[in-house]
Amino acid sequence: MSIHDATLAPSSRMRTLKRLWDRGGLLWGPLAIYTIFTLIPFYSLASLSTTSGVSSTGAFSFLPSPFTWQHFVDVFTQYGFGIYLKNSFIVALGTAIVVIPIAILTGYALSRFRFRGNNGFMLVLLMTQFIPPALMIIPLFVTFRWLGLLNTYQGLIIINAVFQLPLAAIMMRGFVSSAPIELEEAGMVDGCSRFGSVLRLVLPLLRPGIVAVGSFAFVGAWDNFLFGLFLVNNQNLYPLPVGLGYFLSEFNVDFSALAAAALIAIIPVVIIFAFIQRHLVGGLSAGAVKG
Amino acid sequence: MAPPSADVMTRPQASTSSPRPVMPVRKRKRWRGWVPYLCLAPAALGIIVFVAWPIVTVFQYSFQTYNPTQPWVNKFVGLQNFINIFTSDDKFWGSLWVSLKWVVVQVVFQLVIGLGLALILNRVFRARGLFRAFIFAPWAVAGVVVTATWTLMFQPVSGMINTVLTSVGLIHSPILWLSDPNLTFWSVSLAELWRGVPFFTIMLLAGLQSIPGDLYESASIDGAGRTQTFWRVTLPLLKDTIVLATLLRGVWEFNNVDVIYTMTGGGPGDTTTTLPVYVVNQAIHYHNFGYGSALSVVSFFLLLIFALVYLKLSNFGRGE
Amino acid sequence: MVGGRETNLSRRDLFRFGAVAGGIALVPGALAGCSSGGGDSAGSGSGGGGPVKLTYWDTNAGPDRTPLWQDILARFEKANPNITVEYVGVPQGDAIQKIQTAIAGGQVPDVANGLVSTIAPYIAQDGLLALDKYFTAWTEAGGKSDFTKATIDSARSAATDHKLYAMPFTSNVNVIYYRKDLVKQLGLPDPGSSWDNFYAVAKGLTDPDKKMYGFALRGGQGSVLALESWLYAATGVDSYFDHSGKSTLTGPKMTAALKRWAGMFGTSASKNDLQSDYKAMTAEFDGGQAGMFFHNLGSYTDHTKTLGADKVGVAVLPPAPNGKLTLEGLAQTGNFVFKGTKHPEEAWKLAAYIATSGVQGPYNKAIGQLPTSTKALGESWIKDSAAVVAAQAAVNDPKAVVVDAPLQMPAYSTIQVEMEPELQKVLLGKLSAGDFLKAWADKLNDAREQQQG
Repeated sequence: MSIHDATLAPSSRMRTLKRLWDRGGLLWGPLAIYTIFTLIPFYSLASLSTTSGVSSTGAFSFLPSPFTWQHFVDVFTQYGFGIYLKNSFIVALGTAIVVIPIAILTGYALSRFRFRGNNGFMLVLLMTQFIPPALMIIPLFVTFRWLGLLNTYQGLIIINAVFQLPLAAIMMRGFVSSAPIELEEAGMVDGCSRFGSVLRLVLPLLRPGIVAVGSFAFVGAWDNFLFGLFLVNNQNLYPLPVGLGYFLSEFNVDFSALAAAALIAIIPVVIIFAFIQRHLVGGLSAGAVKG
Repeated sequence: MAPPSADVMTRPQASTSSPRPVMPVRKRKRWRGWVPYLCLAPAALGIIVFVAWPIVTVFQYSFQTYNPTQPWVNKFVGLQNFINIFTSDDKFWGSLWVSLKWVVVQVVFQLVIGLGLALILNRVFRARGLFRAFIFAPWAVAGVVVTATWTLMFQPVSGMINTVLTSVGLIHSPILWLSDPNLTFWSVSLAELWRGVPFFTIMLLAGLQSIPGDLYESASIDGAGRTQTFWRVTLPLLKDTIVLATLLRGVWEFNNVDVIYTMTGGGPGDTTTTLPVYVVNQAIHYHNFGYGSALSVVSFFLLLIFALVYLKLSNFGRGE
Repeated sequence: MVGGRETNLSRRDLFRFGAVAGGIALVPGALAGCSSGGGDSAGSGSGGGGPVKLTYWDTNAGPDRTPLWQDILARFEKANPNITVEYVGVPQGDAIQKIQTAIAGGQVPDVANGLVSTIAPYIAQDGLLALDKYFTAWTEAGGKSDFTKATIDSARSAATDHKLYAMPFTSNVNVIYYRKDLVKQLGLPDPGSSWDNFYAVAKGLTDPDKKMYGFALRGGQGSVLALESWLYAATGVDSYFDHSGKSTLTGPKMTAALKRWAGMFGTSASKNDLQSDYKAMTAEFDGGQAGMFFHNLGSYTDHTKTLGADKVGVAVLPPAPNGKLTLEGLAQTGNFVFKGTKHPEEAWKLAAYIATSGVQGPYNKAIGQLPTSTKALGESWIKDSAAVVAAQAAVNDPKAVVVDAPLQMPAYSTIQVEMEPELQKVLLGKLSAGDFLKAWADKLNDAREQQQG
């Protein structure tokens, strides 16, 4: 960069202005604006969940007054929230765990192998996303009944995995494509099997991709309302979105408790993100890249 | 960071010149014929068992006037549903238009903002990790919560937005964010934008990681400014990631029912009724399951054509 | 989400139930066992004699009512030691779909509760068990003799074959809630005395400076259902279909009534009401932004809790210009038994138990609705509930003519939902009132023909 500056020979004032624009205008400015925009709804949740007396109106106040922690307590005692949170966690985690290896496998095959039906299969994967799941509930229900999967964690994990998989596999395909194939070949030349060289050499490079795909699958399952509602008849297995429906039932509106529940539900996920975001970066660094 | 691949890069050249037997080039892309199919088997199995039959039933019902709560109207009508859709259903065209608006607005804005953020978050600066966590956060919020929160914020009298705007004197009478027919679409779009940008940010950030630093270096040595580097170096290398992300996001936003439905119910009037909302209304709430299935089939083919054309036009995969 | 009147619950102070509920809620869950429930039948256990397990779906579940149900079911289990009941609460918005899916998918619970106006689709799907033989055999004291013929006929009206598919245990009526204190303060007339008076009160309570409107219109979800009772009351038309079987929704009287109602939009009612559902209307009324709104009895205790009983007035819809009080019948909620149940006798036992005065009395008292049991209707607390008294007065009024909705038509509530976006267009001025009513009537006529043809 210094060579660059030297060739243009600007005045030092120009340089400072440039830096100001570069750091301020291009970095901190937009970042600050967008961060504020992102955090505003969280602020409203925080205010709503700690104010008493606005449960049925959800009215906003800048500073919560009167202040109370009661809603957070209510969430667990009156609404049995702990159960729903636990269920969602199990299902989401399970989905991510199931999806990741299959997505890698599928993505790898789609990327590395030339075979008949390669592009066709990718389209098939996409096509599974084209019909609203709401229309498929009854046949799914019947299938689940036959397989004895109703009211089970494994059932929810499987169906969420099936619906998250296509996107995950397609994304994985993209990530595999950017990993250099020379790596595997070199590994194989050195005497590893293809599988071995993939495992040792390529997977580490795929780490950002795996993290991205895993977290998408996790959030996708975390979010899912339909399957949890229709394929579960046991109240203790309802996942979070269904459980949250109780806060907003027709006659009993409790916005403060909902806000409290929302915050409780967010915190662990954000913490996980804070930890794994490191892996979203760093990885395919100095490696040569094709395309 | 020690670049292992840099070392490895030099290997193939060494090996081809050595007398050691090496795998023929053609075997690079084709292993034993059945291996690819084996790799695809788990995914295929899941799809066949759980998705294939339900989709087939939807296609079957599209040829009938099936109404589960009024069995006396059920009968096979061939293509009549489809004919009705295209010739006598204004709501279909209306919903298609709203869908188009929705997808374009969402994808374009999410992409542009997401890209900007990814570029920023790719740079080195203090507390970067913290900002990343903030920016990713909306995406960790369950959909039900997103809609409830934004709906509350949009309340005309007690909601945060109007309260703030009124207290700083920017408005004097409440803005009806979710009931003004001209405004509702954009209000819902804003909420969805808030939620969807992190997807692009994450995808593009991961994509940016695969661009080697020395490319940037050589660009700056050649005298390229930041903008030029972006257009000439970054963007082309990100192309595949962008195409993929926009396709996936486009399909996802097209089919997005829950957010819109819970925030507005498709209203006011039909201003936020996208095609999938219309499908779910017909099939599930009005119990016209046959007609709703036919609409869904039409939607299916529209998406299929879109995906095919999009992938073709963007030369996806050719950049490799 | 779909048609049918939502039953509204009082937000009684059930915090003491709250703690208990936390415990009780987990018990049936523990009994039911964790994950692998599954199995083909909803209720397990050997038939005849051995222990029986019933599954009960509560379609109006929430933290206020669930503890009540847990309590009722626990007492039932105590009285019937060989029966255990698994309680499943279903969020109200999706309950109808969930039941339909269960029937279509072949795995149903044993008993569920729900509005009688919502069960016609389940009957059409051939999912419910007719309860007549059990009811006729219910000869004990406090059994079938405790229910008037009118009450049971009302429940029978949900089925084309006039059989009894639901055992009603609570009923509801729509009322106008109004700010008693403001009406008095401004010297306005009683809004329930006449339609002209009502509109005068709506206008009188509107105060733009105070950001207050006279009336909270329901333009969002559930709008057409509420509008229907409004129109029939305002016009004095006393039947849904005329003698030639055509819908009575068309005609100059109906059009005028609709126009008058829609005329409040933007004048006596906020334009934001375009999308208002129950939650929004409640927030407006309880928050002091609307002086009146139209809803059912069940929310009475909610409002008195927030505003205070001295501020909340209740009135039944005013009589029509022709002098008749044409109110729609009471909206009942009942328990129904699924055809797929393996234990019909026990299932009926549960439904009957819930309907007995000893059980439904306290339940109705807690939620602020009308009992269906004659004995319970005679209890002292009835006199103390202003809302219930008002509702009863209306029903017993000599001018009253009950307009019976065609509950046996599954299309009845579906059509109301279909017409909701169209009603919004009327409010926006994009569709004329006459065209709206014609479209609505046409749909009803078509559906009726198809069902009978």
